[in-house]
Amino acid sequence: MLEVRNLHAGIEGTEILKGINLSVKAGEVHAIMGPNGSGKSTLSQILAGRKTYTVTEGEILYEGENLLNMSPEERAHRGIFLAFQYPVEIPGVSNMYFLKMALNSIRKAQGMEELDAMDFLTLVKDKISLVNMDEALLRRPVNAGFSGGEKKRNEIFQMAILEPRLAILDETDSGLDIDALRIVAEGVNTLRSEDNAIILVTHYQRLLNYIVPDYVHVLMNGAIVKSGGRELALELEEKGYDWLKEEAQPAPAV
Amino acid sequence: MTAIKTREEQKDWYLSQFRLFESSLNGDAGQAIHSLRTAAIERFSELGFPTSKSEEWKYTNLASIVSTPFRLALGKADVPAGTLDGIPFPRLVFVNGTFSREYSSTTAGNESLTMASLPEAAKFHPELIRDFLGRYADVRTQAFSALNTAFLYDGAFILVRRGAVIEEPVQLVFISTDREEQCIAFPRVLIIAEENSQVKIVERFKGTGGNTYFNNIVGETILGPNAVVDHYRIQQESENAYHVSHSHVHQDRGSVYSSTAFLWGAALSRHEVRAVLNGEGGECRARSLYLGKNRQHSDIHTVLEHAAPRCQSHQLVKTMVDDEAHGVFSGRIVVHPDAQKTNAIQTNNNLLLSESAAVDTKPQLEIFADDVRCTHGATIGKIDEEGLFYLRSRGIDEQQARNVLTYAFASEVLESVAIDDVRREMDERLHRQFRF
Ligand SMILES: Nc1ncnc2c1ncn2[C@@H]1O[C@H](COP(=O)(O)OP(=O)(O)O)[C@@H](O)[C@H]1O
Ligand SMILES: [Mg+2]
Repeated sequence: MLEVRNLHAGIEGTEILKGINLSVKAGEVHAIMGPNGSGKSTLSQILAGRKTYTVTEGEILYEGENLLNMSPEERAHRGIFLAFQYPVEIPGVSNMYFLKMALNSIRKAQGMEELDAMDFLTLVKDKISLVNMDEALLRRPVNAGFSGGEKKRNEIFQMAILEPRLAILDETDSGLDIDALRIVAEGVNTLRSEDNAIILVTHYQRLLNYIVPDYVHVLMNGAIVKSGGRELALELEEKGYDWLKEEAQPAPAV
Repeated sequence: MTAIKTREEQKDWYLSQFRLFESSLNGDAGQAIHSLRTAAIERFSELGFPTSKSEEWKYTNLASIVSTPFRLALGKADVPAGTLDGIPFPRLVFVNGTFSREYSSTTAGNESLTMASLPEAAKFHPELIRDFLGRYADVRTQAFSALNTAFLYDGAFILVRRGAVIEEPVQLVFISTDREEQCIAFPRVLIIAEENSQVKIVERFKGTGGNTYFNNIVGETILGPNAVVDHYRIQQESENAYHVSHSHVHQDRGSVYSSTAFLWGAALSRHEVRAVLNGEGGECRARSLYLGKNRQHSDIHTVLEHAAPRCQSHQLVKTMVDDEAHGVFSGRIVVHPDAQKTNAIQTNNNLLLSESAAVDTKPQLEIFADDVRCTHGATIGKIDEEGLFYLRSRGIDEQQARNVLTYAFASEVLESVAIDDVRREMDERLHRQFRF
């Protein structure tokens, strides 16, 4: 579904991602772990189409097509969803209104009929219980004045409504208590299917107690320095990231 | 008449218009009010229209107003069907500056509320007209106020009696119809809210055609002790219109005056609020929202004078300019020596929607007391890139995402609208403009 090949990207001449390779197939859950500043959000945002970063080398294929040529909205139309690490506040526009606009934009692009107010409401009622979000938040402006936890739930709620093919969750677990974490995990596990794929960005292993990944990758200093199964997460929990530092150095010339 | 070129021609032109006006008054020219007019035309002749050398008019080029030989709007005009749709009663309607009884509801001599045209009010409340009309409009320094006063005849009179709380908003509608080119009208508004009274006023300016005209408006609002006046202005002049409005506000102790302006129309407009907080514990709120497109120019100017202790003023000015539009905000706060414990807040946010749009913003603080809190902040920016990416990542296309964020920027002014119908109307207007 997703092929990232030798991706180099940066901002204003500073390289942040230094040759990422990542292959995600339908049905898989990949966890990307790594210390702060290693480039996890940069990678996530590039996948969703953020143009702040310049890709200097490499390519990304999504369902066989060149992803880098697509606008953020086109990616969303084709099923990519990013749960933001820092969701943006939009004053004056209700959460409900925003979500209906998003869903109908995607449906329209996919050649489906737009949902009317009634059908949309039914869908919302159905999904909101899944993430245990306060219904009052639907009428409030998007993320404005939401607590950290409410913002994260709102991201998962959006994901539940939009039902993406490839969901990227950028530290959705950070700052959540155990209850909220379970809800996030439930949202993800509900989405999990043979047709969909999920990339979980986190730097704690605790989320992985609830969502069992197929692969774990360690991102350090802009490169994936180690990949493995879920036991790698446990190892990281035990030993931290320091032992991987040497592996992050380029191999010495022979 | 061809274009007016010199200051001398300017003076002569308006003097000749004044003589025409005077002769149309017949016997009325003998009234006390006429000495107000003659003093005002004299003062205007001395002042002339402001130039960009004047600090208060630095960013607004008045050449198009100054050079046009505007004629007094005379005679009755028809109002196109639908113009008044959705504007409820009680209301006073003026067509090209002249009161229209046909479309209005007046109450005179009512215990709590009087709304009438100025000539009518002069019959019922001659003492109030004598004492207050022209009392706070600054004819001495403000050329436009002087010119308006020189041609003072018709206008709206609102009197809210002591302790009266008026629930239904009072609507004032100033319609400019498509008539001869280059007409000038001088709408005038006098609002008196006596002690402990409360009233909401919605003042509308609507243009119905495409001709060039000039509305030179003066308002005077007087608030007695603890009075509350919530004043909305919806400016929807035609796209070729000129609109210069001076609103002079005088506040007694404990009174609360709120001005909320939505500036949509006119080729060139000036929205000026000059308020004096003259009694302890008064509060003045001034908010405006301006959406400029094409080559529109809008100048928002405030002068808030804290002349008594423990008063508050809050200003919020939001400007969005697209195409080649231009927005100006200059806000002056004056704190007198004995106005201790003043709290004055001024915020001005500007959103540039195109590369050729421009804004000028200038705060001006003159503080002569020591125990005061004055803050001001101005921002000029483009649509937030992060917000744009967030919306687009949800499948919303770029243009629509921009529209949503522009709407979001404007919405802060909507939130403070206390009349549901007005808020809904302005909200729909914004949605229509931003097509979502
Ligand atoms: N917009 C930006 N401008 C400048 N530097 C950035 C920007 N975004 C990220 N970086 C830098 O790139 C590196 C990786 O950041 P990020 O991708 O946010 O890491 P992570 O999500 O793993 O904590 C950091 O050194 C960060 O400072
Ligand atoms: Mg991050």
